[in-house]
Amino acid sequence: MLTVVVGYALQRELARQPAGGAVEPVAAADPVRALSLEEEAYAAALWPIHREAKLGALAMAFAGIAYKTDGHDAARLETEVIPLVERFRAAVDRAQALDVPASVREVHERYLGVLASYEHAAQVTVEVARDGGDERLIDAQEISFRAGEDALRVGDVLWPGEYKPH
Amino acid sequence: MKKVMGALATVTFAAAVSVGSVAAQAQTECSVWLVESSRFMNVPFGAFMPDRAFVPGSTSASNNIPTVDLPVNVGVIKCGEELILYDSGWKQEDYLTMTGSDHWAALPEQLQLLDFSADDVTKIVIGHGHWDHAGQLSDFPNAVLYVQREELRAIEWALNYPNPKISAVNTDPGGCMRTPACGYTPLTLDEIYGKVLRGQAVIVDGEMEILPGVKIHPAFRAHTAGSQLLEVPTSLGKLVFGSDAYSSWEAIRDWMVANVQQTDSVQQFLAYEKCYKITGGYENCVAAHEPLSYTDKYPLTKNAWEGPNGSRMAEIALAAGETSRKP
Repeated sequence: MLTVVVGYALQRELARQPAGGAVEPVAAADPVRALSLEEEAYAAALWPIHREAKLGALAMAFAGIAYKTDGHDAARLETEVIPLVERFRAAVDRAQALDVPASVREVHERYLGVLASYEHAAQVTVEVARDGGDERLIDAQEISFRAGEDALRVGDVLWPGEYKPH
Repeated sequence: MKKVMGALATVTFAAAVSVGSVAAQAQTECSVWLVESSRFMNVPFGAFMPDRAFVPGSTSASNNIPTVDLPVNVGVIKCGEELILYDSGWKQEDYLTMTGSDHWAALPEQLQLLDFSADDVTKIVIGHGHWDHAGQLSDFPNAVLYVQREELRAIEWALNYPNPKISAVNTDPGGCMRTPACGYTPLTLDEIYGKVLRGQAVIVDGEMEILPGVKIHPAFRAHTAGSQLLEVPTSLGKLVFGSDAYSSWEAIRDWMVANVQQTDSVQQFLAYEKCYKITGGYENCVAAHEPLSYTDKYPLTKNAWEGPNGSRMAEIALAAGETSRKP
């Protein structure tokens, strides 16, 4: 996986070189660049947290779809989403415990925001299950959607070949 | 008691007459356009159609093409005042960039070229929920989404399956090839979820007539677990849109499998047969990824022109009174 990530990032960097072969300096803020060894280690450590977070986001969406389309079972919604709140919270704790190179500190903070947003969305969903107010599920879905888009921005830096064709 | 039974009989009779009247209404003739959401570039032909795999040195027309470019076709269907999309292309450009795609254009922009606006779209029928067919739903605020319950059920089953080799998704190491949850990405699922939450989704159980003569037909496991076709009456006769159950028009013509994903090949062939039965042949089967799209080699789509970012569009059929929207 790491070889694929670094190789892909290097390929993209090389593809940006002008035809004459001179190497263009890559701006520090350019998201498409090869990761350093420390950055690579950080990306690899964050990856399993990220994978779990994505699966949790999918599970949250499906819990909501089932609630809205299959009997409005609030008890089932609560049962399915409470573990996700805990999962996202644990993900935040694990991510905060990582060694983060200074060069990707900003990316890391952004990703912590993603996890916090997923946790927030799950919490709102649990509240809906307990108190009603289905319209707040839309708020939760919008929070989750924005978190997913932020996660893609993080992925641009850390895992540029994140999604593979099928 | 007699009076109650009599009243019930009257109500029942009236209901039967009413239903009969709906069925007897003249079917609406629809106008149809095809729009290319994006294009997969340089796909090995054999990856798309195993029986068309390139064989170096072969003189057979079936095996002498190494790669093809595959459009992602979206149907734009106008039936009276209703504007329907069949499939809705990609949303997240990140996703399509990672798949080597090109020529993506936003559907609302493409619709503008046809003198429609995104707000005009009243219904979106997705053939299945893969990332290149169920994106951009949130860009159509007035559209009701139609998706099979079986599709949603199967995705959830796959994602929760305990064996990671079977629940593998696109982001897993090495990708996911053709595992059951492949192609269902978080933001695409969120698009579907958003429509459900806003009360703008119809969860379909099998067959459904969404307008007079415009019918959803289930094609379960013809590509994915909950794939669905759309039959549309037009001045050319009936068309059947098939999304990836009809990935290749040549495959329908030549009875080959195509774009095997979560596919039962038997079900794919039965889906082809459905098009033959409904339309009387293969010419009016609308394919999602046919490489010959927008050329005279796929005659249904030959009335074509270029749209934004090199995407292509075609005018397929016009209902009585509808003027051409070809620029």
